Amino acid sequence: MDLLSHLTLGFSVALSVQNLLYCLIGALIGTLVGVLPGLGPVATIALLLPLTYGLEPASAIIMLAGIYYGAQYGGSTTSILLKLPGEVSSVVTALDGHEMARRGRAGQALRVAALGSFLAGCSATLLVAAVAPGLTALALSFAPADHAALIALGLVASVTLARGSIAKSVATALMGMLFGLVGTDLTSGRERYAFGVAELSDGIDFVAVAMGLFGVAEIVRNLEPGGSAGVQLQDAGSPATSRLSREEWQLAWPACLRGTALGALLGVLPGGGAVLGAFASYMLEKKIARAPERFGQGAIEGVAGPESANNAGAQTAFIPMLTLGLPSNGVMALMLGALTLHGIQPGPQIMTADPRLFWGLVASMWVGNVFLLILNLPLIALWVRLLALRYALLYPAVLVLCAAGAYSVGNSYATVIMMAGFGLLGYLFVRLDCEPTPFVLGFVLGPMLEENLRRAMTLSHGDFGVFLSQPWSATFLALAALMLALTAIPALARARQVAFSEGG
Amino acid sequence: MKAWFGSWLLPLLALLGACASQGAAAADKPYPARSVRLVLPFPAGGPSDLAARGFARSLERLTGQPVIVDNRPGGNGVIAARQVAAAAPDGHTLLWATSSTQAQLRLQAGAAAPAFVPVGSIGKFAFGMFVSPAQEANTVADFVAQARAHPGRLNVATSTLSEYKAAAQFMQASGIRMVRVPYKGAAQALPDLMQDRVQVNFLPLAAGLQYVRAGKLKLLATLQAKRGDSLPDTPTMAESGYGGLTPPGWQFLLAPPNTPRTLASRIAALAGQALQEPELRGQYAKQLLEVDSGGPDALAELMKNETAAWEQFFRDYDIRPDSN
Repeated sequence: MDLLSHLTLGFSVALSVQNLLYCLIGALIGTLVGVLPGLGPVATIALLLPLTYGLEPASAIIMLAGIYYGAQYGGSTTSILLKLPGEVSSVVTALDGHEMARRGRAGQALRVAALGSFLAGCSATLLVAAVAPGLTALALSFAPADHAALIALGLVASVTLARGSIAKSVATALMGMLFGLVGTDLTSGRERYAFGVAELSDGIDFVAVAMGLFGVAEIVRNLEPGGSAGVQLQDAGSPATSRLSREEWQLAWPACLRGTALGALLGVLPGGGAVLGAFASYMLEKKIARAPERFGQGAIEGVAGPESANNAGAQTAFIPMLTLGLPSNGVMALMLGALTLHGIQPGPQIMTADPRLFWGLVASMWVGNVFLLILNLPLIALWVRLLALRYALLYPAVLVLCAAGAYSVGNSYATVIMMAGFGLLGYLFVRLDCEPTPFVLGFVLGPMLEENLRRAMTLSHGDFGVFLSQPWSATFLALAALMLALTAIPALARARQVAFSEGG
Repeated sequence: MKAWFGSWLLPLLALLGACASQGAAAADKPYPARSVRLVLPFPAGGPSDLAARGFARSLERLTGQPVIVDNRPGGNGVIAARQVAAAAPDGHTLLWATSSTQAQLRLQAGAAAPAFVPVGSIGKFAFGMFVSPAQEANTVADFVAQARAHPGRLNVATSTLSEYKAAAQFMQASGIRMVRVPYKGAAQALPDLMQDRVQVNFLPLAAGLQYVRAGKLKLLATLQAKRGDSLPDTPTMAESGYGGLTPPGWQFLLAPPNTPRTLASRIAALAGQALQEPELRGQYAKQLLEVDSGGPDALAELMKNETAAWEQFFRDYDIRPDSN
């Protein structure tokens, strides 16, 4: 069977009245869940899982998948409007997206996020349909040494490309890595920095870190005497101004395409890959931009690229789950469980054993992306109007939602308290003019780097050569070294100049 | 005198009568009187979660009371255990425990671990010895011979304490030495196993069987007591000469400390009935979870043997909790 007949089969499943309805319900719930801070797709899918028992397997998975990528869409909304990223990937969207909102261009930011996500979702779905087996092989061939090298490259890039002082970004990234160490050591099973607190023995949850450092700290900053952000947001414009100008569109669409390509490729890799997609796209856009200093000040490419990368990655993350039965993140693990309950075993045989389900899901992703665009474009006006609310009314509601979201992570107050702690730290960062982004990257990637580095070394029985003898790993490390050199040489030259002028 | 006697005897008799009638009421009180909370030390979506949710639905249909699965992951099972240990011992809060979580609790809390009341066993996930397809060995004996020829060259993947224990017992019994490579879960370990970066993993059958069918892994033996109906051609480890490996993967129910034994027996009887339901049986068959229901006494015996095996393993491999 060729691609065309596969897709025909898929659309015949996805376009049945029943499945269209489940797809719409999924996309709707996903958007809602994404918009509510802290409440992620994992909690929602876990809650709704029992409701799908009575459905046909294809309908169930189509609805659950809708929740997943619907949440990716919705997540960007709170990132842009309130600087409240609920997931690692939307941390990047908050950077320039919220800056755009602060400058009264929330509508444009939301529109470009929606269009970028749509473009990325559609093309990534085609990619899933066309080259799923090839990408599967790529994911399998990626050894621990390659993962470690890729993550090292991501960390180096985050530090060298961050805004402001390099010393401060290195310091915050290292601090993030230290916080990432909290929890149980995988090899020895012993606890690190947990101080006998059971809630800390699994490490600190990302939701607490992101909502505290970004959302809570932002609220504290806005409430400072003389804090001005609220005022800026109030004249956030009418729906008519959410149209993109021709220049903006010309900047945005190539960024969307580049973001889609990066996100789709990295999304296939388990763990680190999905996280890196949005960051990699942001860094790429900043590197190739004519005026990189616009980034962090509301650059539209800084929203378009990462948002596309996010959504592309969300679609391609299905590849290893479906074709290998190997989930690359928490949501995929849940999907795998859901399919197993329905008596379907995702894995090498799914395309031959359950072609209706596989291709039906692929086609439904395309349908779901259309639904999401139709749902989200009219909502933009509504969201923007939300910002016209008095800040004194808005922020308590946001804080309550954040606390509820943090509570839902592990059904315990511990996460709420941690979120408050990270809120304080985030405010300290604001006062000290430190960027929280390297901290978040260090927090997420640090433990992954440790795990893969140790695993690679165990597998090679202590031989460091493994990082240079494998093509992927060697390439990533060479790129990281090049980036470091490019950053360090001008800095060193400047330092020498300063030294000379002082001496002279 | 008589009046004085009556003045304290009557209230005493009344009190005794009240106690007796209350005791009778407790025994007659229908169980479950309200919703039952089944606390699970895992996040939603894993094999134990699916098993617990299936069981909860079956028990719900049987008793007419809602059975709520409450996921309290984290702290290696300590958080869920703490929740149940603090609950009222009235049978309306139960802990879904496994071999691994009980071992973790033992490891972390030692003798201070809560004295849960055993209710009954559900069954156990069947395990198997999976090796990478690049390995020439087709039997356990071949594999051991090859490992002996290249001492210290082979790697064994482990994701849970149960997998670690199985691997350790196998290495001890066969006298071969392999390097242990720890993973967070089968999803991470499987790609490395398929690509021969690690050579062997003692995994739940449900996690690895489909890759065997696709030719991406080899299954050398199962850790079951006898050959299963689904795999009549695969020998057991005992048949292959390694009978000393204790089967991991037990799933069982525990009640809060001080739960009356009579109540535990009643819950166990209900659980046994719930496990008879064909739909649940069908789900467990798909999950390769062998139903093995037993009451409080059988479970107490099982836990005693398990604890002994785990403590032996912890001693032999010097696995200790944080020394405070």
